[in-house]
Amino acid sequence: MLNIVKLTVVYPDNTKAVDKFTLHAGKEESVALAGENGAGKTTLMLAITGVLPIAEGSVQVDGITLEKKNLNDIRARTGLVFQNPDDQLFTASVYDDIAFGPRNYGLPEKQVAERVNQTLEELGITRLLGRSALKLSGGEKRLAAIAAVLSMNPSVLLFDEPTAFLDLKARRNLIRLLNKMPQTKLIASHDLLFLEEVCGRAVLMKNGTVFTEGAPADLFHDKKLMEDCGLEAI
Amino acid sequence: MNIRNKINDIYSLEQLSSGNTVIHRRHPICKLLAAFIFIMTVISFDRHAFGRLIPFIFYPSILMALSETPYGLLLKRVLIAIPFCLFIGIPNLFLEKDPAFTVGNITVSCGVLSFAVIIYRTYLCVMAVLLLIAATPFTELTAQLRRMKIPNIFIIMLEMTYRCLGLLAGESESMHIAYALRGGGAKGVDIRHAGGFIGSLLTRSFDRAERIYAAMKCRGYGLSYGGIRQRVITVSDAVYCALVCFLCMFFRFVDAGRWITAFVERIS
Ligand SMILES: Nc1ncnc2c1ncn2[C@@H]1O[C@H](COP(=O)(O)OP(=O)(O)OP(=O)(O)O)[C@@H](O)[C@H]1O
Ligand SMILES: [Mg+2]
Repeated sequence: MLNIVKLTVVYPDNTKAVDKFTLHAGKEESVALAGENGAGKTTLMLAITGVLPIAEGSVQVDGITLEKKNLNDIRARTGLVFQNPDDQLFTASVYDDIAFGPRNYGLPEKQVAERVNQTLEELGITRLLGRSALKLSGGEKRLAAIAAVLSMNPSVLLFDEPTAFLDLKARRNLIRLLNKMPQTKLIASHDLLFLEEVCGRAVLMKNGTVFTEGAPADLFHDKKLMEDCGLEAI
Repeated sequence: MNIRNKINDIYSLEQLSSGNTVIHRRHPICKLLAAFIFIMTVISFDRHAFGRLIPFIFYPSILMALSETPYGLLLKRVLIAIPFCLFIGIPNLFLEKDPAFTVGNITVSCGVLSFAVIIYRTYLCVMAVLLLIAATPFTELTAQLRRMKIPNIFIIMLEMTYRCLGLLAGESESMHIAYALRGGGAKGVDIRHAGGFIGSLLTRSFDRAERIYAAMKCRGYGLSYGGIRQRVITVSDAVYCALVCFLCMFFRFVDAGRWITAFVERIS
């Protein structure tokens, strides 16, 4: 469960990237986040995980308020897949990268290994296990980055452009996987067809705040509305 | 420009660290300490003490055999470091002309000797570091350092430096490619653009480092859970460390290399 109330995030250079943004996503709900380049999607996600400081408003994950003192708890409950997989993968081997999160939360090594293998199987990328994370293709990196987050078993998943770099088969596979996953999901993407297949609700974002929200099928096909939001209808 | 490949080579060495040999199983802190003592001892010698340094080959040879690290892999990486010490060593060849000793009718000058010492010393130290990387998972090393209550900030710096080395190489390569594609086919970076190139390389790398650090934090990096597996130092860990110390001290204070020099002198 994710509860964001009037969230405002200001960068050090005074750019107000998120401005009084409010969103409630229930348990097992999948919410799409669409908006033009620079609308503030990435900033919003970074603020939810406590990477960027909140200027105003509040964020609650599973009923726990994001504060300095329960940052650990919030981070254990949220998983963020970064827009650029190169930012996410940094260890020498795919295995170590996927094991990084579970290890940080103090899981014994045997359970860590189980988690890693299970996640790789779910994503259909067991073949990447022994490879170096620095030498993968763009799409393989994306899948490894997704695995690195899923292995933490978070209750709220945040995806920033998950389909970028994926080929059609991997994209289809990801849709299937996301639809199977019970967690609360917030997915930012420019791939509207993908959002339509995965999310039950969509939020259009403009200038850091909610422009409008509704069913993806209704919003994404409304030519006038989408244009007003700086997007193109499908 | 393939610094990136070379740095990736070093990281790929880390992949060997998941092995399970006598050396791999030793406590990471003991391995770190042993490597540190070895390097310190090697560095402590006079710059003409080639004979005295010879016995120190024991450490890389034995470690390599026990940790089953292929020599080819290590050598390839040691060779990256050698050109740097050539720069430092070559002036000695011309500056120190005094004869050190003679073999037959060939006189070896002090310059040649100190040149050899620089190369050999680098070889020993780089080997020691590479062997440590090849036999110790980096994450485990830092986890144990954390348990020793070393201030977190130092460990974060250590980890980020290690990770960012690859980052810097990666960024410089992709920038260089982007530059070359629009640079009208010029080789290398034009001197007029070099300042800007280096400047933006640094800012880009800092940016990336910041985002990577954010991604790590999102996955629980730097949390107070830190300790991971409690690992005790076993008797064999202590014995390993003591043995390396003893050998280092032995060869440091007992001139085992003398008989080699004496032998050489006898032939002459
Ligand atoms: N580190 C920063 N410092 C200052 N301003 C920033 C910083 N990062 C982003 N911004 C600005 O904040 C705004 C929101 O950026 P953000 O990255 O959140 O957009 P986005 O919706 O993710 O865009 P995209 O679809 O292109 O990924 C933009 O105007 C951007 O220029
Ligand atoms: Mg973005």
